[in-house]
Amino acid sequence: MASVSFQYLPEDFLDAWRLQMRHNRIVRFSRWMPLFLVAFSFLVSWAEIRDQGVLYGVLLNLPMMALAGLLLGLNVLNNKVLLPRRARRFLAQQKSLQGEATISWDSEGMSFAIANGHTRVAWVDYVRWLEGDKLLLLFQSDHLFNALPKRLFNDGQAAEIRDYLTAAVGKVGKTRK
Amino acid sequence: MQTVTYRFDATDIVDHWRVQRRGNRAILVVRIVMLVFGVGYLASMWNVGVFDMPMPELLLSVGIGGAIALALVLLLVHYVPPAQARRVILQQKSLRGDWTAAWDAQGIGFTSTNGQSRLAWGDFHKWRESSRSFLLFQSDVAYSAIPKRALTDIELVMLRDSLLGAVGPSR
Repeated sequence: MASVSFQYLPEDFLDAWRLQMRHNRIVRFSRWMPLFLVAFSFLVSWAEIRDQGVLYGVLLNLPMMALAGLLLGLNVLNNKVLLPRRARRFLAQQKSLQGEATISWDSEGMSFAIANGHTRVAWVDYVRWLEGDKLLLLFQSDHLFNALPKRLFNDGQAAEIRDYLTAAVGKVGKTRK
Repeated sequence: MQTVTYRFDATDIVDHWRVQRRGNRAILVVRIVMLVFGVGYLASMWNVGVFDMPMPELLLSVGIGGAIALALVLLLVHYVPPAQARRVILQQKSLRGDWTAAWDAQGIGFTSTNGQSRLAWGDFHKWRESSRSFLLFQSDVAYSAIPKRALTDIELVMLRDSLLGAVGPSR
């Protein structure tokens, strides 16, 4: 059984949430929503724009454009300010993750040990996995994942975990039925 | 030491999500933005004269729009969360098995099919309760839950007293 010990950093959770959000259809939709709304608003007022000109169309749709800008701003605020703050706050609150953690794995599954507990999950009990630049996310369900920072593993170890996941769960990003 | 064993169902999971989201400012902001967007959209429709139509057509349009909006709200509130909860239970093996919670004056331990943990009362950030459950938060994001149906009346009072004494009032 291979194992690595480490300490979680706020950046690990920030990267995990960002990766999860990048693959969440609702989040992706909400990011495109301002554009959809402005386009829809322009389409609805197309007759007026055709008759009175583009400047009139822009003025006509100004309230919707302002609201779309607000939503876009909230998205940026969340990504750049609120989410990093939430990650720092999460780790500051969650005492169980402030100490040393150990991840172990073999052909059957993964084990996670922290100062006050341990858990073991078989590879076949994961329903989905994702890979980003900095971490692997192993989903026990749509709502619960285990984050594995890639800085912990050498290339061989990362490849081994990928192979176990592919064999038990399927391709990266696919949800097991 | 008090020990209780229980199993979660989809109604518990929906209840946990509702209790966790209670007072969440981000959700409040999203709702306000959606409301502002809705009003903004109606205002822009008004602006381009969409509502300058004969009264029967206007009433029909408003009726159809209102019915669609109502159906969407009902779908989001009454259908989607239970369906998501059933899916999570189907996916997550640990939620399909028995859970045991054991607590004493120092803290509380949880055992599931996947593993176990033991937390001092001081490790909890806050706690909340609903008519169905106690939720013990290690952070704003992570919590452990105990269904009230697993507790006798005396155990329920003892658990609440332990939480009140060590963590403080429910918030």
